Amino acid sequence: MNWKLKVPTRGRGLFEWAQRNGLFFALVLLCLVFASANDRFLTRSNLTVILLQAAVIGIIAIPGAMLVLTGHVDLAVGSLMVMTSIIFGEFMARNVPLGVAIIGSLVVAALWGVVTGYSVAYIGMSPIIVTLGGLAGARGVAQLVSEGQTEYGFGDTFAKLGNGRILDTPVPVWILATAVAVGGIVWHGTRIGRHMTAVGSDSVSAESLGVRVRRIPFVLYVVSALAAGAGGLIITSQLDGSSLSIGRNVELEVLTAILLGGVSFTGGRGSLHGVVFGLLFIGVLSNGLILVHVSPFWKEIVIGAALFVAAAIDVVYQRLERIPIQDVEPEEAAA
Amino acid sequence: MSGALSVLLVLSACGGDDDTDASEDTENTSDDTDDETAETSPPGDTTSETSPAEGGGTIAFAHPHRAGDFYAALKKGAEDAAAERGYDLVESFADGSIEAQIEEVNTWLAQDEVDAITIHSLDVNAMAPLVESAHENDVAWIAYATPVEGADGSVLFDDEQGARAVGEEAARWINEQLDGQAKVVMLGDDTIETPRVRLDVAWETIQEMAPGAELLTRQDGLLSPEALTTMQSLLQSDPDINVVLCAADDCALGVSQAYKASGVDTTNVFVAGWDGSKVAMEKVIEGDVIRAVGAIDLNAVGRASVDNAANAIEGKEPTATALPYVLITPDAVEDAERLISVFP
Repeated sequence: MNWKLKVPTRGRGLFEWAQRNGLFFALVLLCLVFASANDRFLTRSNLTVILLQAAVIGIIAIPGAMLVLTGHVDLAVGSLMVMTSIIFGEFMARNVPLGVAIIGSLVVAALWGVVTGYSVAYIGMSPIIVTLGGLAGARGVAQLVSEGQTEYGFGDTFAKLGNGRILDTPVPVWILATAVAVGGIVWHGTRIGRHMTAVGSDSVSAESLGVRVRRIPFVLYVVSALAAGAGGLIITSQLDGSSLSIGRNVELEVLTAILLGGVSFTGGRGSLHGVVFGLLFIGVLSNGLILVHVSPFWKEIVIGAALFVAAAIDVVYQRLERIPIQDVEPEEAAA
Repeated sequence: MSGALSVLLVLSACGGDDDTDASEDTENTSDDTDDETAETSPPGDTTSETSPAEGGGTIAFAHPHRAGDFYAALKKGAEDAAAERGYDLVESFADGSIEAQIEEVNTWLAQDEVDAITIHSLDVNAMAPLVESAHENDVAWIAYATPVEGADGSVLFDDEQGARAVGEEAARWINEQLDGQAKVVMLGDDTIETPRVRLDVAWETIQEMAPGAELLTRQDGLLSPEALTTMQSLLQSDPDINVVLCAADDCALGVSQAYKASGVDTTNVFVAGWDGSKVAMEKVIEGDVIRAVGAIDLNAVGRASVDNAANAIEGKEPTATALPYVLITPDAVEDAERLISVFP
């Protein structure tokens, strides 16, 4: 590339941001399409529903994206959701106090994450194989514990976790916002975030520089399992039931949001706000297609096409990102 | 998605056994078994090291989907019947995958592990060569939920009858509570026969009896998490939806929760499902927005799945059973309690 884009100094920051976030513009375009097709799409109520539906995937996707950034992956999150839900339901069926049931089920999820993290980070087992094992194993545990029975009716207090509102905003959305804020600080504002990128880029070099290349993915697997457990409890609260139908294919939805958001599957590249855009893109697409009553048969095709277009736009923007920028003074730009 | 579908199929099965409470509703059809369910004679030579007729042998119960509380009642019925007949029972772990199901059956046949297979086929056409292999290995084949050519027996349920019963109840609600006008939504999975038939026939019935009803949309959503999010979105677009037909009880549970969370007045809302899950039937009795369930006696289904297989092995009758649905409404408390009582 031997030419440069001439950009006014004052707008350079915005232009550079736009270069890096093509998915944002795909998201805006998608919103405009659905808003023109259904006048209820842009209502506060519907936008809240979109955020509510994206909340659980988002809560799980944040540590999941950090894992992918380090060159790892967690394919067991959907099964951990249902396992946590079922264990919580069994606790409640045995009249265990609500707080103990919540903490107890989350502890089981965290322990699962400890085993996964240790196996991958310290023993050196394949992340894909270990978490595929978790995908089958955790759901198997759920089936074994539940014996196929659904527990339901967990009371008004627990219902607030999934259905309650604070300042007219659903509780799961607040949890997502908190997770994004904390994740953003860790990812972009701390040394740990830089170390995650370093581990994903070149773990040997990172280790030689003193980066804890084992501890970071270990901790992330534990956090990922905890996030999946929390997501399972939120869905359990929304359904008021601990069902084996919870968590199916969630790992694919989470991975889609992460990869669509620009996190490299081989690690070392990605941003949290990209993941958030990926999450919202999927949420808007799912909601919008239902609002305009698209046939389920066409929906699969439309979703595939939309994801393809979004990925293509992102690639175009990534190429734009490589074009160097030359500052020009406003007068020069006007000329 | 496939998981949700399997739930529906399992639930819709209903087995008959003379010793069960459901015997009044059970129609044994061994005398008029058609070509699809094949002859009721035992498959080839059934002799083995331990004669099953003398209290030995193994029956495989291959149900590809176990999500949902229906499976507990189904399994208990199968286990009880196996214990009474002196058979070991092995279960499937295919989890909605046709490849896994085929591999599983081939493994059973290759290892000479089983004397009969009662199987809910994920793909009927893919089963034909397996049925031949089973017969070559002296293994009886009992088709579950969907007829399979060459099978030695069947455990079927009358989806059209169940769909009509729920459709009539929905139409009655529309005419009596909604002055004949309704905005209807259907949630299910049209790639699977059982949920598709349930919704098709129920809607046909509604159109006949309540022609003022309008079908807004038909969407995917067989399992409760998917049904919850789909209904949340639909209620944003059309908050006055007042009739929702769910192709499975699990779906109805998700829809019920979506209405609760939305704050919409549900006084005149009618939600219905099929299968006969414990939770859904209890909610009908409690006065939930789920007003009707097309239920099958899951314990009887489980029993018939084993009894028909044992009969095929032993050369006894019946080997084919067709089971009807029971309409559960707030006015059918006794039926609901009877069906709920079979859950462990």
